[in-house]
Amino acid sequence: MRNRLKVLRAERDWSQADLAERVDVSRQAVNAIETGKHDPSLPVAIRIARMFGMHVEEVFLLD
Amino acid sequence: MQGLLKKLWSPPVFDLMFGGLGLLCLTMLVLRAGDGFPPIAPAAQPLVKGAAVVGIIVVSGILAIFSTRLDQKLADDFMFHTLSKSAFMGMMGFLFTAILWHIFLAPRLGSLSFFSMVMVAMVVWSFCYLLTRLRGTGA
Repeated sequence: MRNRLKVLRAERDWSQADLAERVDVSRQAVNAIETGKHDPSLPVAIRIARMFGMHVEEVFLLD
Repeated sequence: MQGLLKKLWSPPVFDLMFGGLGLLCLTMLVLRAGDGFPPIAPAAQPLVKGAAVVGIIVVSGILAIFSTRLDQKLADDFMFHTLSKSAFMGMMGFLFTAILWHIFLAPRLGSLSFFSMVMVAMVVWSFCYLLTRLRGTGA
């Protein structure tokens, strides 16, 4: 699964640690999701999408 | 309190723990793999020993249920997924190691003691954890 986390973060000038704190996960989790090493659970994906004011499918894209 | 618990269940803490523990167990394994393998004397009360084994399995199972529930509650889903995947890989790795050793190496090099087998389990689990952290949960 691909995602637009890096671009969306950059647009808001958020670091991985900023996003991690807002979504209540570790910075390592954000890094793993962003680099495609981990697919988040549905609740985390929803929290991330909400943080960007978007729908889940606008942030996470199936290959 | 919740913040402290979250920090304790964070990736850097587990990285350090598995890295250190893996290295320690690997050292112990190399140093003590050649120890004698004392024969196990027949139990004076076989049924009591059998029942005790079943009892310890039940107690350990209950402990595992609670510790896993704690991990799931306090670690984020990435960490929990990493822990559970590496534990599964570690369990399979341990079984394969024990079987391969028993079939191919034990006749020439001798059996491994219980202590060595515990060290093997810890080394394999640590290795699988660090591999999962590097390659990710999807790999």
